[in-house]
Amino acid sequence: MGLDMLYPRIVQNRFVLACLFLILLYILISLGGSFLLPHHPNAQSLAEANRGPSFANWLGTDYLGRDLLARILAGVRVSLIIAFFATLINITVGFLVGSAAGLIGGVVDRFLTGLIDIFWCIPPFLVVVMLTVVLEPGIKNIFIALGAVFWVPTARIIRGEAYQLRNAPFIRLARLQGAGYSRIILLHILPCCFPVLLTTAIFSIPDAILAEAFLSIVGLGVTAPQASLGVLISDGLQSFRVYPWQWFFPVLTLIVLVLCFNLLGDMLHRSFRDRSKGILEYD
Amino acid sequence: MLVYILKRAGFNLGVMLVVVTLTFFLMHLLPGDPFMSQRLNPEIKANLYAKHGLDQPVARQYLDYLSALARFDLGESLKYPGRTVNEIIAESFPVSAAVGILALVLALVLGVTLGVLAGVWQSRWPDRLILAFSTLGLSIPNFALGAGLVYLFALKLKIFPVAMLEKPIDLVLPVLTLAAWPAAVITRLIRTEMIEVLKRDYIIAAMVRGLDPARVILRHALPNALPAVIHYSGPLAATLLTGSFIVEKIFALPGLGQYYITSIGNRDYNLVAGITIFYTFVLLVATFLTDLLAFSMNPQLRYRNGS
Repeated sequence: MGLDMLYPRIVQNRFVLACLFLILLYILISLGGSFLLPHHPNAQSLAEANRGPSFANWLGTDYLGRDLLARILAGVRVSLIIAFFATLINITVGFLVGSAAGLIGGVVDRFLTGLIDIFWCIPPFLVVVMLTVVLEPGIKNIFIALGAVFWVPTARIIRGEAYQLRNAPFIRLARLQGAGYSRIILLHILPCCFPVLLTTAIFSIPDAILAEAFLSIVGLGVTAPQASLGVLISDGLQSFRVYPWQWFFPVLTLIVLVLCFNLLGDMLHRSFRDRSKGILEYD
Repeated sequence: MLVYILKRAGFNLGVMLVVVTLTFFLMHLLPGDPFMSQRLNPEIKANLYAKHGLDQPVARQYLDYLSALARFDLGESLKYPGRTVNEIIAESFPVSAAVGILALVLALVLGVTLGVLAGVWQSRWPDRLILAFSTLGLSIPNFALGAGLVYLFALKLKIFPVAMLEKPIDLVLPVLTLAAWPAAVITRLIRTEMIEVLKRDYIIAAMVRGLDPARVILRHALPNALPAVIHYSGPLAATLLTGSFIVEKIFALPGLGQYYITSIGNRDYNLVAGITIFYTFVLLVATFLTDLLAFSMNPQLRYRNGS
């Protein structure tokens, strides 16, 4: 199914359309929202620490008197940046490894498949934690660490796809005409794998957002004055018994964001392959 | 069967070796050293280095570590002098394991029951209700659910303690938090499988002959839906472990996850490496056992891989 077939499906499904709009809204607000607010996300004023939601601070303030709304907007931006680059690494590495293994076959395939199999068995969060510790936490290192484990399932799926395509007439023809592996991978396999890659990418974004939150709670979040959704939630977990809003608003922001991506991904998944085994399916 | 077991065991051993090597060298790449914060004079520091073998060449340290590991000795903690990593694991893992196993059992019981109910009443109101609940369970991350449960049941309703571990009832909230996501996933897996199985000819034949519907569902249909869950148990175990960090943090349980997190901050090489290796070992064994279970439950697999 091509992209042109996707358009009516999205428009017809109000639910998914709403998700798409919400995601766009998140992106727009996180990019431009902090300019509209009078508060700087890192500006402290200890006199106003731990205030509840009010007219001046719509979502209240945190333990250093920083405006929670401004922090959430900045946090959404950081979380989305981490998720975007983790996903980019995921699909780039996953696609290249998978398609090389499936297309070239032979020793290369056996080596890469072995690599994938071994990585498959290593619990991903242990690798992420170790890598973040070694690289030192920070936006760049968090998405590198996430990308370093996310590519494994992607490579496995793409290898299967490339393996099936390997002897397709148009690929054999391209090879007869002297096309190299890199040309075949980029011009012939990539377009065929596009639906799978798109679905994987959409599902990888909420995974990365959640993984970032996990890292922050474990104590490996982005460095101090910066906010990410994970850092906000982790701070909120320290104080939710007394100041529940400091925990509630970041969590709500995160859940809505993750849910939107999951629903969108589920729609893509079901429209690309006509099976009803999505993660969040309704009949 | 034996060939299959040996093959899998060999592969798992290989994975363990990779993990050990990776952890060892990553830990030695770490910036800073474990005794940095204590401001020791150089002689004491040199003595400490010598005691833990840190003055040896890295290759030598690696070999020493491997040979100790072969004797199941994970070394001594660098931050808690005199305590071995084995002791720390032996002391704190039971807490993590108790929560994890209870959560797993709860998730299985809830998931299979709800999944069967939803599958049998497909598209009617029980199904819709269960689906709505499982969507909720999938979408709410455990750090949100855990804190939410504490706020509601411990602070507002005062049914359970906030963070304490004295009586078994104190485990209710942590176990619930940990079990929600797996239960939702299992519900969906079982539901999808049940819907497919219930359409098969042999089920219709059994129904037509007038067998008790409950018996047909439980004895004829359910066994064919279960392997999906068993195959999913690997990622499930990993999820439970990841979840246990968060749950132990929120509910202040003295489990292994807490030690893992502190040891990372302390740059306690031996403890981090030891716990990582231990976790990998536990997960590999769990996956291995469930694979064997799947293997013995499903005759098709037995013939395909047959020796």
